[in-house]
Amino acid sequence: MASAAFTEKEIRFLVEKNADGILVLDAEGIVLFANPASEQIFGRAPESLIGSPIGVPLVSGDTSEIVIHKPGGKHVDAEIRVVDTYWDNRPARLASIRDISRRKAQEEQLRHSSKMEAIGRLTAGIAHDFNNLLTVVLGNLEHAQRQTDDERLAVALDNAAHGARLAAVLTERLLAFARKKPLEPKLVSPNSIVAGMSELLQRTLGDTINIRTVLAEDLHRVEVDQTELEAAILNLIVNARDAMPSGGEVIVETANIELDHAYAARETEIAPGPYVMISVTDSGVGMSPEILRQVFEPFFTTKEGGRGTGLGLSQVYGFVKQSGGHVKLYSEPGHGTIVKIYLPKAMGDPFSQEPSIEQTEPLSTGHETILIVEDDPDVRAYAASGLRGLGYKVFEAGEASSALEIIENEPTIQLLFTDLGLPGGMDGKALAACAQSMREGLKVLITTAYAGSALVHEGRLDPGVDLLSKPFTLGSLGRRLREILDRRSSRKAGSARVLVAEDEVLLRMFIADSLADHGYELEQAGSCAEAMAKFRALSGDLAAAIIDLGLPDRPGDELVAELRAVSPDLPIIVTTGLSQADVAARYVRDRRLRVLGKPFSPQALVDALRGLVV
Amino acid sequence: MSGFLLRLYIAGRSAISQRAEQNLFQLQRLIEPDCKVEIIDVVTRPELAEQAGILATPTLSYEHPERPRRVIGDLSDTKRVLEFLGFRAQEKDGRAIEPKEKNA
Repeated sequence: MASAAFTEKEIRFLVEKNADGILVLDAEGIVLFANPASEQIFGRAPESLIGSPIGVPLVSGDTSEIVIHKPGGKHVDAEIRVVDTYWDNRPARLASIRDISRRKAQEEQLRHSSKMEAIGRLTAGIAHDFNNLLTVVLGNLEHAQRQTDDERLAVALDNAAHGARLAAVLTERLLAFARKKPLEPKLVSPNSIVAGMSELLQRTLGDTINIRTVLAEDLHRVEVDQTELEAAILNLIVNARDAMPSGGEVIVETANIELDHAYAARETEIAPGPYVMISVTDSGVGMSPEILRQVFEPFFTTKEGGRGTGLGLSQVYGFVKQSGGHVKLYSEPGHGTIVKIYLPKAMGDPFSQEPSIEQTEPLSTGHETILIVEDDPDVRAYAASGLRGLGYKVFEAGEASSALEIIENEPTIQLLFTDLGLPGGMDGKALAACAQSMREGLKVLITTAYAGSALVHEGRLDPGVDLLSKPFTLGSLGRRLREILDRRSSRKAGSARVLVAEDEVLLRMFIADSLADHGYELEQAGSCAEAMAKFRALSGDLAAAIIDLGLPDRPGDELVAELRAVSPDLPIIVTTGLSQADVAARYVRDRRLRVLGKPFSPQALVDALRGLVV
Repeated sequence: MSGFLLRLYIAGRSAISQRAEQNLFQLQRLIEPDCKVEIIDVVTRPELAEQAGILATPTLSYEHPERPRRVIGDLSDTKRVLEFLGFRAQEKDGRAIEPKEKNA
C-alpha cells in the first residue's frame, strides 16, 4: 500500500497543514476528526467540533455548496467533497471543505454589474428614443402655441407642453442612471461643495434630524460635474431623512482614501489609486441584504405612498460610475446606513492648487494654407515651423515681391501672415492691399512690434486685415489664425444652407420647420451616405451641418470626422438622445462644433447655429 | 408512524436554499405516509439554529425521538436521502421505489 511509505508523523503533517478543512464523520453524521483548517472554517475549537452532530453530507456529483455558520452569526460559503471510507473499522465519510466565500462574492459582484449594465442599456435605449419623440412633441407644441389666438386652446397646449417637459426631466434622470447624461466635469473641491450645501441640507432634513459634517483637511480635488455631485449628495440626504422618520443624526464626511490593489480586486469594477471619499451616514431603519442588492436599480423604491421616485440612488450610481468612481453601501436593519462615494482624485492636482487655464488650453490647429512674409529669418523660421506643427500648410517669403509671386501661383493660400515692416519699398499693409486685390476673400494678419504707430495713424484697419502684436507666442498666433479663418461664413449674404442628417423623419421635418422660420435653407439626409453625397454636391456652399449621432448606416461621429477632414471649419451641430459624456469630451477641442442634447427646442437649435456664427 | 417532522434549515433566499426547498417538497411527495415539513431560515431565526446546534446549511433534520438523523447538502440525491432517513418512498401511483432501481 502506498500509505505504508509514510510515517504517522508525515501523514499527520499533511492533514494538519492542508488548507482545506478535513472532517471525518461517522455513519450518523457525528464529527470524529477535524483538522486545524476545518476548525478555522467553522470557527470552533476542536473540542466543540468533535462529537457534534453536523449531519451526513449526501452530495450528488463531485462537489456541493453549503453555508457554514460560525458562532456569532458569520456565514462562510464552502464547497464540500465527500468520500466514503472507514474509520476505526467502521463505515465513515471523509469530507473536505473549502472556503469559497471570496470567489462567490466576486461572482455575485460580476452578476450584479452585468445586470446593472443590462438595465442601463435598456434604460438608455428607451430614453434615447423617447427623447427623439419628445423633441417632435415639444417642437410642434411650440409652433402651435405661437400660432393660436384661441385662449382655451392655448391653455391646453400649455398643459401639454408642461407634461412633455416633465417627461423630458424623467428621460434625463434615466440617462443619468444609464451613465449617458452629458456631464460638464470641472475641477471642484468636495469640501466646499458640502459646505456650500449645508443650509440646503439642513432644510431638507428638517428640525428633528441633526447634521454633522466631518471634512478632511487638505482634501484632494476631483474633476466632476458639480451639479450632478450636488444632486447625488442631496439624494443621499433625502434617503437618510426618509430612513429616520422619528429623527436622528446624519454625518457627512469627506476623506482622502487610497484604494489598494486588494480592494480593487475584491470590488472588480474599480481601479486602485487615490480617491476622495464622500460618505453619508444615518442612524435610520437600515436595509436588508435583499434590498441592498436592488437599491441602485431605477424605479426600485421602498418608500411608500409615492414618496420616492426610485431614481435617487440610480442617479448617484450612474453619476459616480460615469465619473470613474465607485459607490458602496453598508446597511443593517435597525442600525442605519452608510453610503460611500469614491471619486478619483483629479489628475495633475498634487497640491490642490487653483488650475491654470492657460496651461490646459490646447493649441488651435488648422489645415489651411498660409503664406508667411517676414524679413527676419529667425522669426520666419519660428512661425513657419510652429504653424506646420499645428497642421497648416506654410509658404514663406522674405519680402513683398516674392510673396506676390507665390500668391499668384498658389491658389490654395487662404491667409497672408505678414510683418508690417518689409524691405524693398512695399510694406506689409501695401502688400496686403495688393494681395487682396489679386485674390478676393484672402485674409490678412499683420504683425508688428510697434503696433499703434503706423497702422493706427492711418486710421482703422482695412476690412479683412487683422493685427497681431509682437512678440507673439505660438498659442496666440494659432488662436488668432483660427479666429480669422473661422470668420468666413458669417459674411455670407442671403439664406444660409444647412445640411441635416437625421433618420427620424418627424424630427427632420421639425428641424426644417424651425430653421425655415429663421431664414435657413435646408438640405435633408436620412443616412450618412446620403449626407455625404449632398455634402459633396454642395461642397463650399454649405453654411453648417446638423448631424444626429444615431444614423442607420453608420455612426454619426464617423460622418462628423469625414466632414471635418474635408472642411475643418464647417460649423457642425451634433444632436444626440444620449449625449455621451465621452462623445462630448471628444469634441471638446472642436471649436466649430456644438453638441445638442435631445429634446431641444427650436430656439436652442437656432441659438447653437448663431453661436457658431451661421 | 404518522405525523413525523422533517425540518430544513436554510440561510436566506440563496440559490442553494431554494434548491434545497424544492428537493424537500419532492421528498415530501415521495414519503409514505404523509410527513410534515418545516423550513427555518437561520438568518431570521438564528436562535433556533443555535439551539439545534446547526453548523452548516442546508441541513435536513429528522426529529426522531430515538434516532434523530441529519443530512447536509441540497438534498438533490433524493433516493439516498430517503434511504438514510429510513423511509420507504412511494411514487404517486403507490408503487414502491426499490432502492437499487434506477428511478427515471
